[in-house]
This record gives sequence, structure tokens and C-alpha cells, in this order.
Amino acid sequence: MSEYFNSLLFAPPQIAPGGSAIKVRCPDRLMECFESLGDGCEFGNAQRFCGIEPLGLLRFASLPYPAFIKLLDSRFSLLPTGPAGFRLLPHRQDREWWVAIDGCGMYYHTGQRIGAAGERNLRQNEAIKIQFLKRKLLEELAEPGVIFVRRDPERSPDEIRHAYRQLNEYGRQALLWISRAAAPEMEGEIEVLEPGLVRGFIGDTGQNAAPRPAALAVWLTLAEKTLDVLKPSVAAALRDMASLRTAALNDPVWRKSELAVTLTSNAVPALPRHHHIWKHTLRVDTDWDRCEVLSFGVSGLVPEALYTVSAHVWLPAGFEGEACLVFPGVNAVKDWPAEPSNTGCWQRMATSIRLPDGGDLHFPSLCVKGAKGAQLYSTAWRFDHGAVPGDCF
Amino acid sequence: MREEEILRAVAEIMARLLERPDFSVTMQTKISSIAGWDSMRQVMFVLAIEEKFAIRLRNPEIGQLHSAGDAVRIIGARLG
Repeated sequence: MSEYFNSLLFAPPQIAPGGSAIKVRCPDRLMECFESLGDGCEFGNAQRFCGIEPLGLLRFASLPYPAFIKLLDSRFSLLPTGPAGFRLLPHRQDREWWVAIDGCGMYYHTGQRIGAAGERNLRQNEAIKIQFLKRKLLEELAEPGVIFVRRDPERSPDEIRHAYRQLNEYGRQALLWISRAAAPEMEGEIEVLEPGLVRGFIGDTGQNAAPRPAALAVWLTLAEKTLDVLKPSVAAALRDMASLRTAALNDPVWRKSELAVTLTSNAVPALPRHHHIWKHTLRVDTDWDRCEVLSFGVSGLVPEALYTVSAHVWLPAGFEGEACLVFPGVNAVKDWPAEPSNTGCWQRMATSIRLPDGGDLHFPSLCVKGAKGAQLYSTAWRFDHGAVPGDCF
Repeated sequence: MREEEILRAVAEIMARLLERPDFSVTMQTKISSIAGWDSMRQVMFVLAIEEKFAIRLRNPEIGQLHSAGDAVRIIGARLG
């Protein structure tokens, strides 16, 4: 056993220096219920830091209120269909191409680095992408399911209601409108302006700012409260799902979850210095993308840095599962999954990840593919800087 | 169409979009783990699937495209 492996084995669970855990409840599933209608990137970034990347026409778009209304009025016909309608703007600070659509007062991130692609190709691709995203948004408006969210902090209630009426021309919609909190105690609060329309308050509405952990926490709070009001059945389902996970609050140690994760001390032998053993029970049949049984958030991380999440797992004899690993969320560099046939002993698993540009938050999960009722145990969770050396496993 | 055939077609699409002919794809290949797979490629992936299999994906299906296995499952269900 290598020295590094020993250090993993005997070190207490910990997170990277400077990091802190925040309370979350199925943040990815929660944020999947919403789609941004602009203005700006903050909500789109909040979704990204919750580990989801939904495709959305206005997710990373700047679209001032008058242009937003005009675009709705036009049923999005102002969006160009060919490459000529897309004006490329070099954003030198981010070294990224932005696109301006002059006819409708909108500009947005392309996510394409300057120099990485030819300008002609980029315009052609943007024309294809925008037409596809327009189609997708029109379908969402025609068959309401998501809650739309628009951050436009200085609008009056009348202006908000006007925009909501315009949206309802497409079908009955649910909308969360983000306004500026006039006082600190308003932050994270919501008010119902009319059925289907909720106004939420947030303090830091900095244009294009990557969400700081505090701002992200407010976004999650607003999303939870809004879901409770506008989609109570979905919120209830989410609460049920949340019971499959545990959340940490200012504590790096994984906490007990009421239903799916229980603390056990004698079912399997504890590792030296690791007396907290989590028992996980799969409450539903799981597949690769619906298989997290445990998740927590770690904030205060370094964007674009490499981190590794690791843990020991014990698969009992007769384990009815096909796979078990640390689910990275996004940007996995390498993973060392558990061996499902290796039962009745502790085995270490790990996944190294690289945070996205601007990302300082991550939600690693324990990911198990198996049948309902399958049980397993974990202990010695760590969140470390750097990659796991290849010779450790 | 059998699952293996769908997976092969999906793998070809992914390799073409990544411009990596040798890109290896299994049912477990997660899109979020593929270096260089951005929103543009995801859009192109959807459009290429629609063209190849002559189907139009619905929004919930598009939102579920997290892995090659998802694509195979969704396409398989649509093709009956």
C-alpha cells in the first residue's frame, strides 16, 4: 500500500483549505425546474455550479427589458436565420467571442475562445444554434412545464405584470421575476404578484458576475420557495428525492440523511480513525443519470483548479448493483470506481475533477447503479486539492 | 433497429462532432465528462440525431441527453 494511499486511509474526512460546505437540497434537480429568460448570466451560472447545463436561448444572454418585450411581441421572429445577422464581439478580458444581434438588442456569450474557431464558421454555427434554441423555447412556451426566471432588478410591478401577460400569450406560464432587495432582510424572500407570477428579491445583482457562494445560496432559496408556490407537487417530489441525499451545513463531515443514509457502527468493521460509516440504501432502481444517493456542496474552491473526491466503500456480499463510483458532476478528469464484484471489504474510490472557468463550487455525489433495496456503506470521505496519483490504486 | 446499431450510430456522430475518429463510446460515456463537449456540440448532437434517425426530439428528451446510453434509450424508444 503506497504512502499516499495510507494518508488517504488514515486522514479524517476533510475538504480543501478555504472551502466550506453549504446547505443544499437536490440543487441540480431544483435548478432543472427553471429556465432563464435573461437578463444576464447569473442564473445560468448558478445552474452550472449546481452541475446542470440546460440548453437555453437566453441563459447567457443580455436582453434589456424593452428588447425582451419586443422579442416576445415578435414571437422571436427578430432573431436572424442566417450567419449575417450575428455580429461577433471580441471580449478581450475573457478572451471569448460574444455575439450581438442588432435587430433585437441582444448579445450573449458564445463560449468560444477567440482564435479557436474561424469567424465565418462561428457565425454559421451560431445561426444553427440560435434557431434550434428558438425552436426549443417556443415549444417550452407552448407546453408550459418549466418555471421561467428573469432577473431584471429595477422593474416596477406593472412592468413585471406586463411582461407576464406577454408571456401568457404563448400559453399559461409560471414566472419568477428577480428584483433588487431594498433591505437585507428581503433577500431570499418572495411575494406572489398574481397566480403564476412570483417576485423574488436578491441583493447582489452584479451583471455577469459568477455567483459567489452567498449569492448562490440566495438563488437556491428563491428557487425552493418559488417551486413550493408555483409547482407544489414538483416541490413535494423533490423533497422526497432530497431524502435520498444528505446535505452539509458548515460542516465538512457528511451528515445523516433520514431515510436513505443511516449512520451505522457495527454492520461492517470501521477503518482505523473512521468511525462514521454511512449506510446507503437505494430506494429506487437507479440508472447512470439518476443514481446519486448522496450529495454535498463544497464552496470557496479555486476556479479551473484540480480536485479529487475520494471515499472508501463497502459492498456487502450479494450486493445487487452494477457500479459504484464518486460521481463528478462535471469535468471529470479521471475516476477510480469501486469494483462491484469485490464485496465484503473496504475499497477506495476516487474521481478527480477540474472546475470550470469561474467555478468555485462543486457538488460531488456517491453514484450507484443498482436495483432498489441494494445496500452499501461508505466512510472516509475526502475532498482534496490536486489529482490522485495514478499508482495509488 | 437494435441497441448495438443505435449505439454505433451515436458513437459515429459523437466522434464526428469531436473531430476524433478514434473516440471510444460506450453506453456509459457521460457527455459531461467529454473534454471539449460544449453547448454548441450538444445542439449539433441533437440535430445530428434528428437527421440520422428521422425523428424530432422533444424538449424533455433533449434535457435527458446526458450520456450515450441516454441517447440510445431515447432513440430506441422513439423508433419503437
